[in-house]
Amino acid sequence: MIGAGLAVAIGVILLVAGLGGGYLIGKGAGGSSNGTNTVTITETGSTLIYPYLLVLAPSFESVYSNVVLSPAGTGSGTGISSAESGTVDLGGTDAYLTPSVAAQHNLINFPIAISSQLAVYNIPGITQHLNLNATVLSMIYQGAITQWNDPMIQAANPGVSLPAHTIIPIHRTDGSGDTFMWTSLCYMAWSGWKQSYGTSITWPVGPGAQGNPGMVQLLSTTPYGLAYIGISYLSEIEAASGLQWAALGDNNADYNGVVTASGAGQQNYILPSAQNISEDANLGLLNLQPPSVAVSLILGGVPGATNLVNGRGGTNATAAYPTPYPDTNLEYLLVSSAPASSSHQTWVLAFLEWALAYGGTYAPKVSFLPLTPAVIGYDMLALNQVAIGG
Amino acid sequence: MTAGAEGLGEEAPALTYASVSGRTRRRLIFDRFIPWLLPLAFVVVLFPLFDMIFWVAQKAVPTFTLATLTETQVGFGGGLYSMILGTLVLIAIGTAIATGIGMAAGFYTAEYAPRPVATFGRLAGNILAGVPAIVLGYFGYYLLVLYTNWGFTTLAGGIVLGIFMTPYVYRTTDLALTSVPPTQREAALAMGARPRQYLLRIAFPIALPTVLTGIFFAMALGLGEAAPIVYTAGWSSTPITGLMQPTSFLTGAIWLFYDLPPSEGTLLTLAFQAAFLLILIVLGLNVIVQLLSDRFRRRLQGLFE
Amino acid sequence: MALLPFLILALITGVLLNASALRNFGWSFWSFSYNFLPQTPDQSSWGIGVFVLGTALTAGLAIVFATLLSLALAVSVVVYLPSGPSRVLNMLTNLLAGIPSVVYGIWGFVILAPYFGITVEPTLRSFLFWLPGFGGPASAIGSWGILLAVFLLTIMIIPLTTALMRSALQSVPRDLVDSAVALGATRWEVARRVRFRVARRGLSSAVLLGLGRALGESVAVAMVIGGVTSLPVSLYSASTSLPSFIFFQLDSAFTYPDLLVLLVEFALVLLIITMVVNIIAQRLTQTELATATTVGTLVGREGELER
Repeated sequence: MIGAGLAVAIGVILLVAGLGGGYLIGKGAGGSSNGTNTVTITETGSTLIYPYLLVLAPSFESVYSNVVLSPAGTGSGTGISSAESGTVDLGGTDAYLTPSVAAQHNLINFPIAISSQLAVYNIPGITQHLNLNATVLSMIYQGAITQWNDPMIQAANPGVSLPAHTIIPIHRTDGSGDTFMWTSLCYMAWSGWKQSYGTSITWPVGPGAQGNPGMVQLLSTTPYGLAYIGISYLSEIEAASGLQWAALGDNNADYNGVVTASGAGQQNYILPSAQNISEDANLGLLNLQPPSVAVSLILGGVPGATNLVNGRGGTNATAAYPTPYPDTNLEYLLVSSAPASSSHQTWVLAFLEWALAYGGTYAPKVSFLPLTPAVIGYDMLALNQVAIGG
Repeated sequence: MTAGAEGLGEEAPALTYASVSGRTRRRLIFDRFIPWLLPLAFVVVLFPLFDMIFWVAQKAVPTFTLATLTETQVGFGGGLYSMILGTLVLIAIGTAIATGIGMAAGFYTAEYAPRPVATFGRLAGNILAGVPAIVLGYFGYYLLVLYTNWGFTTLAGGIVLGIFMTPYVYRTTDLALTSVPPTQREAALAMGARPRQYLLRIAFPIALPTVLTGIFFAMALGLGEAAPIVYTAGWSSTPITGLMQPTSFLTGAIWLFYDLPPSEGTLLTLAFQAAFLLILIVLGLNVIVQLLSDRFRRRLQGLFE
Repeated sequence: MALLPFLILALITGVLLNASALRNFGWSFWSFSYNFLPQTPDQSSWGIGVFVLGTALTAGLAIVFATLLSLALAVSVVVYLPSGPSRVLNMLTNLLAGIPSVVYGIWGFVILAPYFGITVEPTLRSFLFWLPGFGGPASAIGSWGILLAVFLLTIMIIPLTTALMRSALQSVPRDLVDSAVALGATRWEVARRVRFRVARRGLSSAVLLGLGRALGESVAVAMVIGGVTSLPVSLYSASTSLPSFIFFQLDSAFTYPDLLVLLVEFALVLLIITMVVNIIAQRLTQTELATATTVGTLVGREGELER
């Protein structure tokens, strides 16, 4: 009675159920790991960190053949909440946890790499790097500066003939660490900025784009647009025609060269380079008292503050770090200081140590920068903390 | 034929536009015109279909090898193995749940439930089919990720997917059973069969092809959805080894890998290959359903004759 | 047992209600002002207005276009085309239903958006400037916005509405059609005056079920709608919608408890809206077989299923 079609149909259903179920049964009791078996280190979180960990995984696993690193790009929010609830070994995030929140959940901010961000624009006829400072950028994204030939922009770019055209400031639609960095910059640089900072805010002006690929695509089809794009996308920005990125001001002086309250010297405009970005990372740590890695590196961190301060602070460059690129960020892995299983934690720590020692050579592959010695120093201290906790 | 009233008095039955005038002529011309106009809508619909499929195929096929199916993603390379496995497990859990709940509820609705209850159940089933996938996803996140404190797990993803698929199985089971001709029941009962015997030996075999169609349809829908599982199944780069772990899945691969920097070109290719594979699977299910429905239509016709 | 679907439905509603009771957003929830993370927290506002408006605009326009196109498709298949081509075309239309919505999204995002920005929008603006919504300022940019979302939604729901309309038109009794033909009606007149009229409940239910589907689509819309929370000024404007906002903001919400609860409220409102739409749709169909007919989208022969 039952025809061939039916047989095929039932066969397919059984096959799906059988393959799925059989595989799991074959794996035994949930694949829980103990020493001799394969250990899986789970990570979830920031999509910025995800490619970096993908690069690290094969090399790390070739050294530790019994350990598998399983990263997941789900978003910083997911990374933080999963680390807090202890469902993953490592939570990846673009924003640090404040020391109090971190302590509450027995988590430690563990910087794994340095990333930075570009202010990219598409102005027909302008191929050079413009000088833009954080105050100007903040005003543009607030809607206070609307024209490319605004006197404030012109003052910073003498001799450049800026078009009398409306600026179209583009922002990210999806919740993102890039938005966190950019809104931090806007927040800190200008008292007129009405919003706070975070991975997702209500924007006063401008269209939105989804993901960094969306930012590049939208900007390249939007003359007179301005966008903030992670430096990992540098090659794509270079490939798109008409896009160029700005040299960012250190805000030690305002656009007219008048020295601000916190700063000394004159406004410097800095292009992102390995050295400049690293300098900013070091400067940020230096500026935080007591020293800690729970610091926003935006504008070199704000001197004397433990958190972002709406202080119009400049980078306050020092003789040791004269040209810090102001839009820089540490990428963090959140690791538990009171893990459930100390034997499992041993492998997690082994990975973090390996990453500190060897990860740096892989960072440029995803346009990250290796951690500077200063940051590595803090990480070493953090590792000791974890070891004691475990 | 249609203008017969006009042509009644004439000798020749052949009707030309010249032979009629005024309103009738306009009506006839319009009627000729319409069959050419309406199918233009197919162009609007089929252009996106072909454009999408060609676009995806063009990006996926040149690099599509067996390794794409059998290798685990390592770094920026490798294949879709862990996503295929994850999708398979998710769909297996989903199908099991949807088939269990859907068929049981369908049976009761069709055969046992009092009429008001049955009507209510059907209404609820149809409404459930209309609940947005993202709402189901959020529900799953709250109940199965947060409240149970499981975190992101394959099981949670499978359960939410099962709820998503359930109404389709439920309604087809109900429908298949209620559309078994009443003569079958009368004959069976007259021969001394118990109701249970009738249900299992007579009604169910007749209804089975339709039920399977429903299950396949639900599977096809579940395969293509990302919203219910993104925030319940999480993501993982390694093949799952247990139900209480997060897993990767094909729709997620499209979503996630598309967003990564282009220097990781292989991953972008993987995104298209995942899309291509999904379209192929759904096409395959489509063909099975088509075969199945042809077969059971013939059998149904046999019954009605 | 027969009440299992209802129990699941009740569970979903109950869980969302329970989660939403964690915070009361007050009356400002029903306003158009949405402001997340202002510098001083007491300035935040949690209005749902913009999101409802965006959802209504995209889904509403999509269902208008989908209705017109689906009617044309259903009539050509049922009335005009021979059975061979009809079957092939049905199958192709049904295939559209099988493409994952993520693929729709990325296709719209990469391929369609530039085309809309360069060709479609300027053309529309120059010809339809007198229509409200079509004459507004150019989106000036890659053209993610309401219009593109409407287009994607239209194609996405066409397989469903077409299948439902096909079956509604096919279920018109043969005698009625025959008598109209006998009275000298052309095929188009039979379709318009007899089939449409007799099947009007089935057709309306098809429209509502399509609307329900369009209201709930998250992934594809999220990728093309532009995602801004200001009020749209024209159809070229970027906007936002309830499901796409939930999809995009969930990750951020994990670190902002207020936002997490707000998204629950949004999900709840969305659930209620789609429930109402679906209940009305079910009331309209005497056969109560809407879901079953959905299955017909793959089978391509709804008539058989409905027996």
